[in-house]
Order: sequence, then structure tokens, then C-alpha cells
Amino acid sequence: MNASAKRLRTVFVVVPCIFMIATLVLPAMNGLLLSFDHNGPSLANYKILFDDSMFWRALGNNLLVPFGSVIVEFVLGLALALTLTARRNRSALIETAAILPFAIPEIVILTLARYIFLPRGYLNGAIAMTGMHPLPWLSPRSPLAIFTVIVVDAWHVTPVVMLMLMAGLQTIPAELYEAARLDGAGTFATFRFVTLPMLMPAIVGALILRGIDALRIFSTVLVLTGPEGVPVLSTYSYSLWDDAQKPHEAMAASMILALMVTIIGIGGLLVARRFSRDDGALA
Amino acid sequence: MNNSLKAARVALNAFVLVAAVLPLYLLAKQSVTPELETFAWPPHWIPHHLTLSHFISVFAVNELRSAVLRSLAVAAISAMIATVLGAMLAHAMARSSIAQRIGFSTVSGIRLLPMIAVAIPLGIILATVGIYDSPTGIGLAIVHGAIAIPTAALTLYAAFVAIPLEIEEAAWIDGASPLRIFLTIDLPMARASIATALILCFILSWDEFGFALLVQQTNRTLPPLLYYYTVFGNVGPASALALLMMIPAICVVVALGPSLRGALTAGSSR
Amino acid sequence: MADLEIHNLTRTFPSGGGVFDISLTVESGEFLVLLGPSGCGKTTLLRLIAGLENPDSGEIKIGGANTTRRESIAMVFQNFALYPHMTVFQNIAFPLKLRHVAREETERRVKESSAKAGLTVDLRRYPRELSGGERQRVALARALVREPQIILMDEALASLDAQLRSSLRLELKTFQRRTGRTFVYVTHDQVEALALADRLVVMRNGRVEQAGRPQEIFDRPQSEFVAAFVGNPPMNFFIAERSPTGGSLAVDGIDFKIKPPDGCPAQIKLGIRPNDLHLDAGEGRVALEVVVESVEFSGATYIVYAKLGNTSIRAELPQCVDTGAHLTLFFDSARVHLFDPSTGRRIDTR
Repeated sequence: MNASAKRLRTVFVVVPCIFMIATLVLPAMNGLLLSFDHNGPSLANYKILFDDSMFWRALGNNLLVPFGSVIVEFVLGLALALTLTARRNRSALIETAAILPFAIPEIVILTLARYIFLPRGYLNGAIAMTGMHPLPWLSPRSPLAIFTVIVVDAWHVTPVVMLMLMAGLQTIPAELYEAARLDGAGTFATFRFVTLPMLMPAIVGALILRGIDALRIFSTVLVLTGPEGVPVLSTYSYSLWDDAQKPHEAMAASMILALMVTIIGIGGLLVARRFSRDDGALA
Repeated sequence: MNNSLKAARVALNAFVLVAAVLPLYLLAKQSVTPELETFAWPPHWIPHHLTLSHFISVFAVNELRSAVLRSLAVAAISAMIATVLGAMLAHAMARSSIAQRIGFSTVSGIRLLPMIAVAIPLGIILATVGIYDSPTGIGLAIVHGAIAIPTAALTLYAAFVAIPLEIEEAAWIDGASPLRIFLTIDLPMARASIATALILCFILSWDEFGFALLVQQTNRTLPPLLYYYTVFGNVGPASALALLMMIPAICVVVALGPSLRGALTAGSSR
Repeated sequence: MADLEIHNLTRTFPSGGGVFDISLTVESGEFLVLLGPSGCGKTTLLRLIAGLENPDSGEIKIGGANTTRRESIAMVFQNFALYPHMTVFQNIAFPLKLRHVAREETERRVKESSAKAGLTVDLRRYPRELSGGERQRVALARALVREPQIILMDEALASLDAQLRSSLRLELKTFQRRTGRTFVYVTHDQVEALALADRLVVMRNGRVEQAGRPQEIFDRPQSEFVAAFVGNPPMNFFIAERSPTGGSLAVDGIDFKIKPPDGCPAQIKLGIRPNDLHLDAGEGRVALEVVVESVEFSGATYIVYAKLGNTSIRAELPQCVDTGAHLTLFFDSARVHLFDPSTGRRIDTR
């Protein structure tokens, strides 16, 4: 059995992996080469970027927005996961409603968000009804626009964080809570000393996955503010390619993003590995 | 303290309901409101006039109709590619630790690639092959197939791990070749997960915006088309189109419910 | 005619298990049982015969040919390995389908082998709708349908409950006689092994410890390990020493009145089965004075735990005795087993 089964397994690994690598990794490699090509091999494309103030704004935003978005997602996602897994308060309606934003296509969520946050949109309409001043939610270059981008990005993805944390919560045995209650722990003490430590592996895993995804933010910014309102590296690269017709500089910008994602991703994995080793005592 | 917790819980539930339902209502409202009324200030919360013209225009305008068909074709073909290749990878990963290591590292490596770093040079390659911006959307279907393989593989991996080795060995003793075992024993036993994988990959492609925007520049699929409608001002048709786009996803959530949720977290990626 | 010949078969695993240098011949129509504790290599040996594992060295000849031919071997797995997505009929017909057997022929052979396996359920049902015993019969029918020379079974009754197990045991033996197939059966259950085997192979640490008829294994175990493993309740073991006169063996200073064999070491392992200890003196039996410590009722008999001086002893008696009672037990010196304490091998008195 072994020889022919092994041959089949080899084919089964090689074919899909080659397909993924040929379709996704090889183009990225080609892009890496192009980013060093400015009428011959040179660092000129990168130098042009470093002289562009828009690049530095994009780089800054590409750290700020994912960071804010992940924090909002985790606070909301954890609160939702805790409420929805509490046995007495289970509600299928709330659960479905909480998952809904993720089931809706991202572009539809963004379309909606645009109609809500536009200067003459529903949010300002509601504010005007209360007699207060409408706010420029999407005004380019404003901190408020950064805030809006963070909220909208988190809106779409919070259900994913919630589901991951719910999966983690469900692995905590009920006896642990009962034991804590018998030991006299209150709601917050139970959370602090039972739930949170037991949930830590799920939290770390979700943080890494979501962190990597958040760094690649593109459509939220493009739809809400256009490529230059709250530029991030992806939209900056896109506008270099699409509007400015400078594909090589666009590649240089996207390679810096790729480098950033790789460093943060691998760093996160190392932290997670060390964490799971420490966690041995708990298990 | 318990009272304040309860209040917080009620507030959270209310927030969730409003966040989920109100925007959908507004979208539906816009799709049946005449164009002029959508620009009213302050905005109308309830439509003063009703019209079906936006929906009619979605189906009357050639560009929209072909975008719907193209999106369907791209999603169906890419789901097929991803599920076939994902099933192969998942089966090897479930049966060999070396394959598992190769599979996991390729899949996580793929996840580290930003869309934009792939899409621009890929466009150049697709152009040389002659399928860039193809009217059939075949180039996009291939890309979507590749990015959906991890989702399909992770969904199916659990299913194949659950099949006892004993059953494959019995089939081998009965005289079946390894390929035959895969086709007649493993795949039928994993059919529920295969359906889940197909649906997830279909939705992934149906929703995907970045690659679609860059690869199908003029022969657009639905997401980039909706983007242009939204940004360039046709509120009514954009809302009608957005509602149509939600149909598959909503159907899936309602129909598959809980079984889908585990799969969503296993394979979630944008 | 030998159906299956195994020569110097070795297969090792990185974890340390496996089988080492095994040679074995199985006659046509024989019911061979491989018995041993878990990890003794019996399942590995079966999988090597099946061709599920490849040997490091050595060879397996089936029907005289030097290959593991899948055509001549069928196997019944521990959990039956029925295909859950196929009906009972499709399960049994699967080997025939792979061999492109015609429709009518398939139907005839499926019916025939399910009848032989005692399967009476509707063949259109699915395995999940069947009871454990019925599943077992489906697995047997599937093994039989392509008329193999040899049927391999891996702990095939282990996942059933005790009552069903003993009735299926009987059925299996009849089935084997009726079909005339060669069976190789793996188990760790000695009751099952003694009941089923024409020939029994006791394995330990990847090697054959003893092979022979069940009665032979029980009556003349060739090693201390076999003596301890086969038989329930397990055999009593004592360290015996030659008495100063050298004329007999003594345990803890108590004379057992057994003549030590020539050239035996100063110390010797002495074994008596609990059911070889009797309450009546009989003819020429040796007497032992013991004090009863506790008694267990085991249905037909009583297991008596007693002290012989400072040594514990177990006896299986037909009647109950009182705890604390002083008792005289008798045994036949011919029923005593002697083992070399350094090698564990049997020392023959005759």
C-alpha cells in the first residue's frame, strides 16, 4: 500500500501548492524584481517613495488604523462572545444579528457605511435632528476620518473575532466556573482568574490572524475616503499604479507593505509559540 | 453590580440589533426610493415615494446583467478549482505529517501576501498570457481559486482526519487503488464538508473586491461595479445592486446556520 | 499444504516496537490465533501478512508465491471498517465491483456469502442502522465474497459486549469449519484464543514465544511468560530451592516433594495452576498447609487467596471456605511446571 499511496500523496501536496505558488507567490516575486528596476537595476523607486510625504502618511496610517481596528474588534468581540455564551441569556436572534455584518459582502458594508457617514448622510441627519452640529466624518486628512475608517473596518470583522473567541470559550469546562463560584469568586474575579487565562490561547491566535488581515486594509479606505483621504500602503500603491501609471513605484510601496506584514506576522507567531509553551502549566 | 452588568448586556444586545438591522433597512429603503428623493436634506427615514425602477434598470442595463453572470461564473469556477485542489491537499495533510507541515506553511505563507503586492504584477503576467480583463473572467477565477484553497483545505482537513485509517485500509485490502479509495471512499464520506467548502469558496469569490478591481478593469464583476456605482453617485441602482449581492450570503447564513460558523472561523480570510 | 509461509520476517519501528525474525507456517484450512499482550507485535505481523506494512527483511509466501497477493487475502478489522455511505449490499459487493464482476454474478455471490455469514438483515439498509453483531456479519460476508484463501481478523470481537462476543465466537468457529478457509486471528483475550484456535501462537516483544495446539500451550507452557499469560486465574509462581539433602524442592522451607531434574540450578521457578490445587488427597498427591486470607466468588468456582508460610498462593476450589481457616491443599506433582529463573524457559522433569 505504502509506495502507491505515497506517490498519490506527493501529487496531492505538490499540485495544489504549485498552483498557489504559481498564481500568488511568483507574481509577488516578479513584483519584487520590478520594484528594483528603474531603467535598469536601482533603488530609485524606493528613493522616490521616501521623498514623498504621502508615502509617510500612508505608512503611519497603515500602523494606526489596523491597531485601532484590532482594539475595537477585540473589545466588542469579547463582550459579544461573553454575552452570547452565558448560558441563561442565549438568544439565536442576537447571535444571528451579531454574525450578520460578516455575512454581508464587504463592499456592501462599505457602500452602506458611505451613505451613513457622508456629510449629508444618515448619521449627520440624525445628529441634525437632535439639534447638534453635523460632523465631517470623512473629511480628508482629518483625525476624524481615521476614526471613521477604524470603526467601519471593525464593524465588518468583529463577528469573526467574536466567533473565534466563542470557540475558545466553549472549550472551558463548566466545572471550572462552578469551582470558582464555590470558592467565593464574584463575576469579575471569575472573569479575571478563570475565563481570561483559559481564553488566552484563543485570544492570541485571533490577534495574530486579525492583525495580519488588518494590516492589509484596502477597500475600506478606498470606498470611504478615496485613495488619498486616509492613505494606507495598499491604496497608496494602487493610486501610484492606477492614477499615476507608475507600476514600479507601486510595486516598491507594496513590497514595503509585504515586508511589514511578514515581520509582524512572524513576530506574532514567535510570541504565540512562546505563549503556548508558558501555557503548559495551565493545561 | 449585577444590575449594571445586566444593563450593559441589554445595551449591547440593542446595539447589535440596531447595527445589523438599521443599515439593511436604509439600504432597502434607498433601493425603492426615487433618485431625487435620496438627495434630500435632512435625509428621509421613510420613503415618500416608491419605485421599482432601480431594480428594473439593474436587469435592463447590459453592463449590470453581464456583471451578474460573470460574478456567478467566476465564483462557481473558482469554488470548483479551490475545492478540488483543497480536497487533494487536505487529504494528504490528514494522512502524512510531512504533507501537513508543507501544507500548513504554504497556506500561512500565502496569507502573509498583501493583495496589492500580488495583483499588480499578476495583472502583467495575465496580460502576457492574454487573459487579463477577459470577458469570461477566467483570469480572476484562477486567482480566486488560488486564494480560496486554504479555506477549502482547512474545512476538509477536519473531515478527512475524522475518517478512520481502518476504512481506507479495508478498501485497499478489498482491492482498491489509492486514487480509487480517495474517489469512492473518502470523498463520499466527506460530502457534507465538500458542500460547505464549495459554498464558502463561492462566497469568498462572490465577495472579493481587491483582485476583482485590479484584474477585471473593464469587464467588471459585481463588487468593483458596485464600487463604481457607489463612488460615482447612482444611489438607487447601487442600493439595488448591493441588495442583490447580499442574497447568496444571507441564504447561506440562514440555511446552514451553526454548521457554517465553525467553518467560517476555520477558514476566515479576506 | 501450507497456505502461508513466513520466513525470518523483521519489521522495526522508530518507537521500538515491531516484529523480529519471525518464521511461521500456516496450513490450509487452519484457524491460527496470534495471542499476546498489547505491543507484542501481533497486529504488526497481521498487517505485514495483509500487505498493509512492508517488511524490512524476510519474506511472506502465500499459496507458494513470494508476494503478498491481495487477491488471496481478506481482512476483518477491529471496528469492522464498513463503508458508512454504502448500503450493506454495496459494502459486500465492493470487492466484486472493483474486479468488474457482472451484475447477476455479483448478486448471486453477495447473497451466498451473506447467507454463509448468517446475515439476515435487509441488504438495502446502511451500516449505522445495524447492531454490533450484524455489522460483524456484514464484515465477514464482505471478506468472504471474493473467496480468499486466507481471512485475517484483527481483534474482530473486541468492540462487542461480552454476551454477544461469546455467541459470535462459537459462530465464527462454525463458519470457519463450514467454509474451510484459513483464518489468522489476532487477539489479546486468552479465553477467545483458547476457544477458537486450531493452533495458537503466543507472542511477546515482537517474537514468537510458543506455538502449538491450545491444550499443549496450556499444559506445557514453554516459558514462564506463556505460563503466566495463558490461564485464568493466573498461575502461582514460587522460588524453590534444592533442599539440603538435594532430594526435593522446597519453597520457603516447605518441602514440595518434587525431585529436581538433573543439572538444574540451585534456585528454580516453580508454577502451579490454581485449578490444579485440590481439597481431596487423591492418590500420591502432595499436601500443602495454608491459611485462607480471602475468598472471591467467581460464579462456578471460588478463588481462594491464602498464605503458604510467607508466600501468597491462589487456588480455584469448587466450594467455599472460611476466611482465616487452616486448609490442606493437594496437588499432583506431575502438574507442576518448572522454569529456569535466569532464562524463563521451561525445565522438563521427564
